[in-house]
Amino acid sequence: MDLYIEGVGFGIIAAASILLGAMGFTLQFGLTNVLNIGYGAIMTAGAFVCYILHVWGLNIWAAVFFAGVATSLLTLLIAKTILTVYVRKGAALFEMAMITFGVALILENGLAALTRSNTYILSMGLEKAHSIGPIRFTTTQLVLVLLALTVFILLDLFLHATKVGKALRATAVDPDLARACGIATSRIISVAWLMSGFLCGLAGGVFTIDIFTVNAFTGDTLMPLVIVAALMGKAGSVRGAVLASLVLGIVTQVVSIAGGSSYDSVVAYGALAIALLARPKLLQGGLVAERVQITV
Amino acid sequence: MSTSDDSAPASRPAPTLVAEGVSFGYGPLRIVDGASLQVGQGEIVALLGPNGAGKSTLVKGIIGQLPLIEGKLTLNGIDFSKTASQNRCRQGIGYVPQLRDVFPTLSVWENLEMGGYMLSNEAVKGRIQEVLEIFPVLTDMHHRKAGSLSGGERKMLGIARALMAKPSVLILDEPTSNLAPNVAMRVLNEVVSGLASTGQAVLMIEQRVEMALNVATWGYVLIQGQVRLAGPASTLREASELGNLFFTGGTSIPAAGN
Repeated sequence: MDLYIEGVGFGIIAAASILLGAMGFTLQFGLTNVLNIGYGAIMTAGAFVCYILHVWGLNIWAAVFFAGVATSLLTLLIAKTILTVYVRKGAALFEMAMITFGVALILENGLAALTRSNTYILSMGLEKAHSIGPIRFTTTQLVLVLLALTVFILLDLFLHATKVGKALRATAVDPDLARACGIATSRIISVAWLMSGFLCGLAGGVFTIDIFTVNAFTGDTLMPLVIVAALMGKAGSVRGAVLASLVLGIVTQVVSIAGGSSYDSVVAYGALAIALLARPKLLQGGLVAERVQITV
Repeated sequence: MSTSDDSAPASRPAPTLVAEGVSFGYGPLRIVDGASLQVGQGEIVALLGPNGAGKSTLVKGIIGQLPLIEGKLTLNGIDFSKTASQNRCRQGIGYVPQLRDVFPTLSVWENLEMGGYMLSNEAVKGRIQEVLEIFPVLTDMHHRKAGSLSGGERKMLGIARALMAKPSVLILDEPTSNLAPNVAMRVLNEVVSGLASTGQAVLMIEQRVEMALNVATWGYVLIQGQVRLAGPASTLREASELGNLFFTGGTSIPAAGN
């Protein structure tokens, strides 16, 4: 039984990377309607940047930050080049998802070639564990959770208390009306790509710190959970992503203890299937919308 | 009920918004073909016509959602034919869409803030107070999500949102289409007429022809993308051709000038 309670602790820690990823994913999906399958590969890129910077001697938290900066620029670059070209050619939702899948394959296999498919170990040194009741955690793990929470609070404040944040929400719900209000929606969408890319890199970095390893497909482990958390939390809603991430983190960790980590994806997609059955309108305004907009 | 005077002279105020021989469409298809109209200060101009006549297309063109194929658009004498959609608000075009007229996931207050996006941060609060004085009913619900308002409240918020930017011309696309008849009457007779009496230029598409002509000062009848009839609302109300135009598509009736 204690093992399962400890699983809850691991779940909360796992939820940190899921939440960071889900916030970025939902922000970008809510604004552009591009189901960005390449998001997982960009998380991997973020994980590598974080790893390399740490190996070069940078403080791990600074490395996470710069991983975010790097993937932010990478994301905007991909959006402004490859994705824009296809949107101008008239690609719809499904085609765009396939194109981002292509981007993911290029990125991941490129990384696999560069790293000769090695798995690298992030050594952070031994840490003393603290404990609250039966749950044990290290300082690093505590910081991971606090980092995700802080980013969530800052993002939520940005979206609800600043002019640009409100314009971002307005553009997500009705871009035509936003333009009629004088909002330069193309600039707002660029902001969303940048922020989404930043969160994606943070998620990758944090995930690597959590699991100690990185390889060319690291992001793929996290990606289904991120998509499910974003969709379960209602596409486009950052607040909804919090609870969904927590639930998914805990459920996957507890299931891992019961049956092994290979069930992670089963749990993630199972949760998505159940959520869609219970609330079929979940995808409304997200996947069912016909227009892709990434006027970057 | 009627605010327009039956003996009103046909002379009109100096035009604020002018569309001169404008054509709009989708791809090679011209939905609006060489239409002309004008709206002046304090006027309520009704844009009428059967379904598919091109009324909404004309309005979408004026607000910049469709590119101008030919013709010219001016506001207060300034040509805005080529101005990007998001910059037309700054020039003085206020627009209230037929259905998606508010941001449903934003609060009433936030909707007004978005309406005043072009204003400076300091100006927004003061302007919200001014607009709320016109719509006192919205004051008590400024925390509520716009998506939770009733039809009438929502339409008022849509109009209030558009007024935030102090538009030179307010364009309403079927403001009463989702409203019960008594609410529709109030929106037209009280809200729209009230705004016009303060000098606001209003252009509105309406399906409820009689109700619209009761509050309008001038009307244009659009048939198959062309203005087939125009005149003071009081004249149009009497015009026997109006019914024919709607039912026959107006093929037998020559275009009337203004």
